[in-house]
Amino acid sequence: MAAPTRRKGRTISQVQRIDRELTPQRGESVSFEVVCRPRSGAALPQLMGELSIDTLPQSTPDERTVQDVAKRLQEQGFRVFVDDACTSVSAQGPYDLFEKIFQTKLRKRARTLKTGTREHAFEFFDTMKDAPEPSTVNVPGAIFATIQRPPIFFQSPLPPPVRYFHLRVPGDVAMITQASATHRRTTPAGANATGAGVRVAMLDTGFFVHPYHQMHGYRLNPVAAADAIPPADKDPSGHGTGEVANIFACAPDAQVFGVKMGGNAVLSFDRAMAMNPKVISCSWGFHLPGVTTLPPALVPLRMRILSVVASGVTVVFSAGNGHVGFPGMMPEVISVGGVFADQNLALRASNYASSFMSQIFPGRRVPDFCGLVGMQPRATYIMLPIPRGCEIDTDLGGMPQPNKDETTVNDGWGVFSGTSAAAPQVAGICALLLQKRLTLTPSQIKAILRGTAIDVTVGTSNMGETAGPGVDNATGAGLVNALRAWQSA
Amino acid sequence: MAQSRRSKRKETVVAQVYLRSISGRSFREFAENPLPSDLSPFRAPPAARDEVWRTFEKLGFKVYQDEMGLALSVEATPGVFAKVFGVSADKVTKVLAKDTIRLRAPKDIQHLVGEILITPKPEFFSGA
Repeated sequence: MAAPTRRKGRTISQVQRIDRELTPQRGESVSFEVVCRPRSGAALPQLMGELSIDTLPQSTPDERTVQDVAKRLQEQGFRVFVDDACTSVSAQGPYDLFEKIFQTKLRKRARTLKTGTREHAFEFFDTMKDAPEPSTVNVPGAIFATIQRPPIFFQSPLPPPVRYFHLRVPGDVAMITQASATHRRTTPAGANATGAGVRVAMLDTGFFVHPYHQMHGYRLNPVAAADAIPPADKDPSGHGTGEVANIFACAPDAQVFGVKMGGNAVLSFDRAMAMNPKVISCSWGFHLPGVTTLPPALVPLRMRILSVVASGVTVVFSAGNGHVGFPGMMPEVISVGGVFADQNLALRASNYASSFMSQIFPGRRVPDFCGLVGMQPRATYIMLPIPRGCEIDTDLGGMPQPNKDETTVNDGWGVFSGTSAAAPQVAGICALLLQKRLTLTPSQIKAILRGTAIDVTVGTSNMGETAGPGVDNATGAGLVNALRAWQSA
Repeated sequence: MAQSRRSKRKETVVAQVYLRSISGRSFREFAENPLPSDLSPFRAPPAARDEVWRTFEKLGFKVYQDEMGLALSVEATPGVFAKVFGVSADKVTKVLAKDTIRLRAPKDIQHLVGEILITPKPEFFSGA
């Protein structure tokens, strides 16, 4: 194992610890635990040495001692928590009161723990470096008092349970798009059809390498556009981190470059192209209702996308969620709308996803076909990994579906979708096709996906357009089907 | 219309500074037309580009150039935009994609700059 590096702060194994002194607020509260004298009468060192399951009965205090300690702490002004079988007394109170009663001096610190790209920050009190340890002389019956620090909650790679119908990545998304059935196929070179060797770039808000991504072994490489606020793996929104899971659901072995965007999307395309991708996925756009000529400020973006497609890179865009989305309306890109699959896998047009005829590019109808998207009001449909406490985590968490997602506000998971989810699903499927035949052009890929999509015949889009047999305005050619596409490639 | 996420980079504003090209032709030709294989007639002389770059840096902007090389991308706080271009912070921060907001180039470089346009920010289509 490589020796740990020492940078700013103290390094413990691969965990970097950075501490910073804080000034406590007047009356700020500390939580502490008071250990009571055991039945055996042992002092603390002896108690610590003897403590085991066998010696527990003698090591615990009698009920009277616990009550006396609790009462004394209450009299001194602390808030006390005691339950029936407690062996110590939990208490809370102003830090300066703690200093006075327990004859010590406290300091407040902020600590940041960093492991690779993961970071956890918290604040806590402890005794000053040269101050005496807390004395229990003012609390008869107590032998030891210690300040409690907040526990470290690690972000789980597993999603929390929620009580309503939703899809999980990678399994459900891969199954319904038939990507998982494709993964069992073998390419002419003898490899499983999982997208290996194909580079996909996704341009979005940032790409935190979530434990979910790590545990799956996904190849997610965050990079920042020239004008993005680094680091690329910091994603205050959570949008990029979550939606990129849709690429991996469909192409688990693709190499994905997550390009954190700045204020100018052209620079993000530049950064993406430097990674030499074969597919670029974009879950964003500009809303241009009633606009008949491309606004001059967006002309450079059109030019850049044209140059990217001309170089042989397939560009996939979300159609929008009721938006008249550009660049999703560009004829040269794949424009992805939304289809909802219910518990019985019955398909209907998502009433959340866009469908429209472009007034800027005559004859261009959006979408070409669809990925999986939830329904109104908020398309809470796919459980996706996000940075703990990010905007999506706090915005969606804590309240009932359908307006919120019923996950907690700080758990690193959110249930959402939109055509933001559909585009990366299709981008992943493009990677499967390119793994089989690397020479496929963007227009060939679009034609294959369009020709093999599953017809969706019911439902209406966000714009009120109706799905029907064959190609329709609401869903285009229907729901993308990876297996049929792969067999046709 | 369903809710969408808007980029949270509210603290800065971005504009594209289009330089006068060598040929006098404008990037605006590409609003509808196909992209030519050679963009060099649409680019500015390097010396002109460098002068505009330096000027904006001195004025407090971060300056970037994209691979196409037709424009410089300048970024700063709304306050800097207000000071340099005399526009209100509201006007430059609440730009809709369909809007075209032109800014007047600083006097010293007006002869080198064709057009300055505020760049709208994209919306993220998650619904969250």
